Amino acid sequence: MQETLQNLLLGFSVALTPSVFIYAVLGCFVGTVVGVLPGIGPLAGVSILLPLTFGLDATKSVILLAGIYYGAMYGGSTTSILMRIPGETASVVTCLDGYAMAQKGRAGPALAIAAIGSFIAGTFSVVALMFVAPPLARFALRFGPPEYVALIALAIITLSYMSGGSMLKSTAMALVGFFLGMVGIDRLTGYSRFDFGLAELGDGIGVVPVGIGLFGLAEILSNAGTKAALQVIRPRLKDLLPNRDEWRASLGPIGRGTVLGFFIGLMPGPSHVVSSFVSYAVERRLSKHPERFGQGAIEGVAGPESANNSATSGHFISMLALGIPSGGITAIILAALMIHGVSPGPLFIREHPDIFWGFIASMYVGNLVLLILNLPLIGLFVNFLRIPYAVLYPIFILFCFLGVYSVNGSVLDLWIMTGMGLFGYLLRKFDFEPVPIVIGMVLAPILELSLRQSLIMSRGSYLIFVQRPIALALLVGSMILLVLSLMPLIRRGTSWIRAITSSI
Amino acid sequence: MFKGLKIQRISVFPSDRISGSVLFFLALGILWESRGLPMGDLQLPGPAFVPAVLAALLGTTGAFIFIFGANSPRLYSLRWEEAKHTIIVVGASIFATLTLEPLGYPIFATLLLGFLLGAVERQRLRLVLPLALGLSIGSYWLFVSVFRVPLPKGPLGF
Repeated sequence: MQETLQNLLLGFSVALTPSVFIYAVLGCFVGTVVGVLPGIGPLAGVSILLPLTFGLDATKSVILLAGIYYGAMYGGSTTSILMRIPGETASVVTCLDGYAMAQKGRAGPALAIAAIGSFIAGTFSVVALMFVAPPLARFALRFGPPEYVALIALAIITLSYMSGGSMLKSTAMALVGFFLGMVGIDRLTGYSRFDFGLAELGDGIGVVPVGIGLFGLAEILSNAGTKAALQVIRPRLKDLLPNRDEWRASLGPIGRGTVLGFFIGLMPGPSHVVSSFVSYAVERRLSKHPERFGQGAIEGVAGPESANNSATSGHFISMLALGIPSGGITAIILAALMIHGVSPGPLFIREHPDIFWGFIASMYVGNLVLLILNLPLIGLFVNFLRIPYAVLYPIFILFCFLGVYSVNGSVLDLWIMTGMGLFGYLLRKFDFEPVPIVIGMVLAPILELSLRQSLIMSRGSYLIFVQRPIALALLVGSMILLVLSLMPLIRRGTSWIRAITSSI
Repeated sequence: MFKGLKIQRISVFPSDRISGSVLFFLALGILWESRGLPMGDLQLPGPAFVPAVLAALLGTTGAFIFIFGANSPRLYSLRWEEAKHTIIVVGASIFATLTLEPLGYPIFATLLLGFLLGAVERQRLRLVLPLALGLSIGSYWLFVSVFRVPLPKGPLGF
């Protein structure tokens, strides 16, 4: 406990340095703008704004990107409440009661409760992250190659299970990602693989062009041509504070949303989206008047908004402690750290305490900044909604090019980004989830090395994966998830073909 | 006419049948490309071992998506109304990729923004001109001077 507090003090000494603090504020501000703008979600925002971090050190980079992430999570609620347009997927639920409140002239309290709930949830989940991540990293030091293979299998199966769409399609995308991650020189033997004679591919395909292409450019291609006329309800600053009844009604949902969000956030996949839906369902179930939900119940704003912000911190745990990204955004942030020569994993906290604890402290600071920044500046953020998408997307495209070219100065990377942009657009059309591709790419070198090392260790016996208790436990977890995903087949009986395509 | 008929035939295919086939052939392609690499054995897996395992899994997954995809939405029923716009933006991206180094960043950025804002989105010239010039020069200064990222200079020296 004392050690944790000392480390936290170290973190604050880093995060409150003016040159670092400014990036936490900047990240929160830019993130809120990203969240407010419809047509660009947090993942696309973080991908497109990645180049802003290239001139910074690793600490400032991760603090800036994390600020953009949770700023976007908060900003997404603003458009949900004022326009009934979710800035990002996790805010879809907030539309239901937030917009209904706005129509009844209670936009201010809805925004305030969303901000305060996000602040409380964000702060609690950072405390939990601070206590969970270091012991988990110490535990992960016991992991050898077989455990890593089992862990990656569990991560991919959980990601596919949680993604909500077809499990087969998500698994296929993860496999495509693994393949992309194997392009280049084999680390064990030095053989060149799948590089088609291009020397530039010797180092492999970069995560940045793939990520910016799949999430940034593809999102632009999907939304290009959007000409929505935006109707915005303008809240007055003096009407922001909720009344006593609204406070009383919100406290329970904020508490429950915080706890739920954190635990759901630990799982790979779009946990912030899942957490907001689960929180809404729980609040509706617990309410004495469930019929009020959808008509402007403040509990329907407080719970989901707290849950999705709490999940944001939970999401970082596996990336920081294990080096395993649990979603697209953490994969991009992991890539940003790797560009700066820092590899998250079990040794990350020990080797880079300034970055880890500076990051933790910046999250406290960021949550406070979001609360202070967002309520008074709500009028300013609403003005961003007036910029037409037709003007915004060319600027985003320029940033995509700038970002990708800045990493290696390579035109080949630009081709990869353009190709991935088109690929990502088609994936959306064909109902495939692109996030597992990037996660697969990031994990491919670890998976391949660990699998081959495991087989060498066991002299070719696959039994090594079930003879070691941690690996066995992780594989049992994977099997349970697989069985759970097969449940629709058992339940639906004859309609099993539909079940396998829609639920698996 | 013959070409039109072909497109019409493809457009009635279930979308999952098309994506399943693509994934299956991608897996075959990976196996084909791995043929020149040593496979090794279970005791000492070679550089082709894991890609081959993954290709087998990908092929199987693709086959499953194909087999169970008969009831998925037909290709024509997917919403394609933004496709024309998408093709223009992809075309602009390809042009941008080809011209970034020969033209230099400031000219490339001005042309890209000018084309997308002015020609594609039909914004007014008084908005397009200052925005295109301001953003290209501003971002060039920011990245070269502040972030110390070398960006290509054009034939005119900027």
